[in-house]
Amino acid sequence: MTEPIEPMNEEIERILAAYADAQFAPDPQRTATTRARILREAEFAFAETRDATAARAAQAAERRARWKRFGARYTLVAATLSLSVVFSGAVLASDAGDPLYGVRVWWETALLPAGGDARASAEISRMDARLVELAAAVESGNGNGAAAAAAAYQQIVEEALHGAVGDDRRQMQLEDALSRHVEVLTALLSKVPDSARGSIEHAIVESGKAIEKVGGPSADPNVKPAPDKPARSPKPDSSARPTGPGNSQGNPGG
Amino acid sequence: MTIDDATIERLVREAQAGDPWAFGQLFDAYHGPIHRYVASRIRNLPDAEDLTQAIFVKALEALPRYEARGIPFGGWLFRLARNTVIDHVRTTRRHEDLDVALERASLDAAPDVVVLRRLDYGQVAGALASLTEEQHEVIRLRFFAGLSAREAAIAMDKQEGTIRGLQFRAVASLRRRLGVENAEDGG
Repeated sequence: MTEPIEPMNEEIERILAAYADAQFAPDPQRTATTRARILREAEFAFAETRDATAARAAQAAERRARWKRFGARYTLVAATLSLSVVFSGAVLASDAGDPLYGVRVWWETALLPAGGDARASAEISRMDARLVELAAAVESGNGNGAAAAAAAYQQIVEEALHGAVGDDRRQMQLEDALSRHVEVLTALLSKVPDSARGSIEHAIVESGKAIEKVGGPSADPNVKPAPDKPARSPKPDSSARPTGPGNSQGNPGG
Repeated sequence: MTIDDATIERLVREAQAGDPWAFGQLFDAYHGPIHRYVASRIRNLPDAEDLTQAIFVKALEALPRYEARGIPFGGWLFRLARNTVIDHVRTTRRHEDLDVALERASLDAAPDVVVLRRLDYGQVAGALASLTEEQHEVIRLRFFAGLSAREAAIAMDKQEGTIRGLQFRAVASLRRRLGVENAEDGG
């Protein structure tokens, strides 16, 4: 703390030191009392410091643990979402006959409107979509895909038929749609692989039965479904032609 | 002061970590210098001890905020002491007459010694009183408290060169006033 001063000041230094010792030196007894008080204060203050430090350390540990928990949850949620997105993409991209095709059809069913005209329209749209898939499978020679699409189509027909009971308007809409679909199915029958032929024939028969149900006595008398061959010919004057695959005139085969 | 700067810094770190013993060592190292400085400023020994105690309490409270970073602990502590004394003087306005202090300092001395000391100390006190306040402050910090020029500079918030200049002029003035030059010249 002290540093030597130049020799010529030594006398001054000696005088000032003696002066300070005589005038300003602390009293040893009072110094001891002060020391004891200060150390008590230090004990108290440092105990608080140690407590505060321990509390801060505990808080920091809790924060770290909280972040770790949050990170784990976030990772889990993110992984779940990622898997969901990937799975959803795979489901939406699945074609007829793919392993996830059934899931996709189920998913569509789950997302249908609860009821009313909206649901009826949605079901008809789904039947149209299944026919498009069926035509695509037939075109590509995919018998399994064609069978799966035909089965899915038939399932939708049954659901739509059930929903239309007692509602003349919906029954008329359904009858018209089924008539168009039978035309398409009949046209596809000539091209379908053997493995899917039974499914399409079954769809034609069941659609004919459905037309009879919704059409009642006024249903087209030409529709005479047979177990092994469709008997109903397409309506040539239908105003709402099916948007069948590859042919807007209801002749997908060209 | 027998403790080197490295030991002081180590004790400070230990005290900051919550070691009362280390703070006790710092008290032992600085109590005397702080008391001398305070007493030289307020010229009232009982008040000086109380104020010295208050300074150490303040140091205790401020210690967690002390960071060495080139500032010696002694300079930091004396800056705190100086501010405390300035506040004390400003609030109490109690300036004890120099003669009262001289009387107290000589209470235990024999009458003839008292007269001699009274004369000598009176000369010293008179010589100190002739200094400017800044010169006087440098003398208090450098010679009464034993600070280095750097520590005194930190305590007074001035450049070290300024402190050396103030000290040079103060010592020259004291030598003239106390006849030290004549004494040296004569013997």
